Amino acid sequence: MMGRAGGMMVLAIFAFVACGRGGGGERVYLSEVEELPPTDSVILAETEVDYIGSPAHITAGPEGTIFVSDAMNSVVHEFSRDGGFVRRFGQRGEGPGEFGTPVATGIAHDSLLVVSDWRESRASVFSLASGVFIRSAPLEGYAFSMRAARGDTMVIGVTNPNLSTSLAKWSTDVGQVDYFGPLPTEYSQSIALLHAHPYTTATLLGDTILFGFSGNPNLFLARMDGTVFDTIAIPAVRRRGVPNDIVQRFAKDLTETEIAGMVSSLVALHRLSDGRVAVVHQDVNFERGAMSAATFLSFLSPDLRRSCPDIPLQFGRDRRPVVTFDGDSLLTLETKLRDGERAENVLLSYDLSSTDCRWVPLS
Amino acid sequence: MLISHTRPGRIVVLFALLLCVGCNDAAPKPPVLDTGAGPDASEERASVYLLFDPQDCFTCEAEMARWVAHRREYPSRVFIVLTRRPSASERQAIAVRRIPIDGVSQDRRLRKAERGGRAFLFQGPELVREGRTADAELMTTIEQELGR
Repeated sequence: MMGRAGGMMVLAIFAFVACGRGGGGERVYLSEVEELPPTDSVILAETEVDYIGSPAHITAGPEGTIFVSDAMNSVVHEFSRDGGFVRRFGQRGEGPGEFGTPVATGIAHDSLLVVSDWRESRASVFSLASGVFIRSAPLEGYAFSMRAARGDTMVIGVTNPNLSTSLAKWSTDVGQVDYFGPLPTEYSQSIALLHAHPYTTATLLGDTILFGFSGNPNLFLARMDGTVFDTIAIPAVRRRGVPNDIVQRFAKDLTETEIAGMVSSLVALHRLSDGRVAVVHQDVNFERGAMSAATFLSFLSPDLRRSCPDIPLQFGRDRRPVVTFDGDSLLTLETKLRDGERAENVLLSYDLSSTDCRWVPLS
Repeated sequence: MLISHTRPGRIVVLFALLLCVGCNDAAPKPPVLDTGAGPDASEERASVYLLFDPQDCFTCEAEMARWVAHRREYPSRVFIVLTRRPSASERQAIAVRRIPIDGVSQDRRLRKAERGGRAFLFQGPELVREGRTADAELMTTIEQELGR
């Protein structure tokens, strides 16, 4: 569903591709574009009743629909890819199938919607076919990302301050959640840092877990038991990165604005079909309740030895965008204020198939 | 300076000051909003006001959704009110969450130093209950009154 603005985007993309492929002109590499243009843009059809108050996370479902967890309205909304409202999961409450603050969403076994609930400290499972709540399990900590492993086992990026772990495995057909994986040493040195930027983002590369943190510059490679065997540092070229003295900085009293503005937060990881790994960071600005963010996309080569860092996406001026992947596409959900007042949520798609980049060897 | 330097004059001024303080301690009335919003004159049922500082919008968003839903259901009886005019970034934070604001009240008697929203339940001009919006018991009372 592309309107006039969408048509302009297509023109912009043609212009971008033409520049990138040469034709006598100078080649433009992904890592040098001012802003990667989206390939599609859809306004979600919200109503006075079914609207997204505060999007916390999005996930693409197996049928192409989009699931949006809403921390303000305590539901998960489902929208079709052309923006139509499909249905909602859950409602505010503490009972089975209800949510306090739903955050991370994930799909297990192509048939289950899994949702972490920060306020209720649990994860809940719903049938995608019927929309019916199936079961829940206690989930302790800051859960931010969910990835299906084998079958219906979820690997959850969940920072657990009490156990000092970063990941959890949950076989969704039983109630047991197993916590594992280490936290960076900086988190043990600064409890303030841990609670300010606690989120773990994880994805699976076969039998390897690739994960990282919102308050740490590195990515970590671990076996399925959580044993870390390698570390990757993607250079921060255009984003803030994470300061080397972050522990010392968090020893002082900081304002919310200073806390949010100190780091580039890792928000998404995903392996593409050609083996590259897409990495998304955000530089967040927080001022008096208003949160904007610059979003940067980076790639790791399939052998994880080179990177294509910091390709800027559309700036989230009115609210921090939430992001996910669907195959070889990156999806961002952005809230935009029309005329400075009327909010609408726009789903942007970015095609990640281009490999034109000045690849940087990783040290 | 209009303050009298004679002894009777000082007594009159002191008495006037005491009266003024007494005024401030009087039971709060439904706030007068800059927009003129308020219950219809014919409305005899309870009305509810949620007052919050615009800076608190981010922290109270989980509670706010309930208020937005109540306001949608009872538009002539539920009012969402700011304690001061919001800054540009605060207006932005309110707008992206689609929180409808009925107006601004600068009535000091309705303001508290604590952070977070404060709810006021009026029966006509009389204040029946007040408390923090996080108070579950107050919320239950308010929802029962609205349902009558």
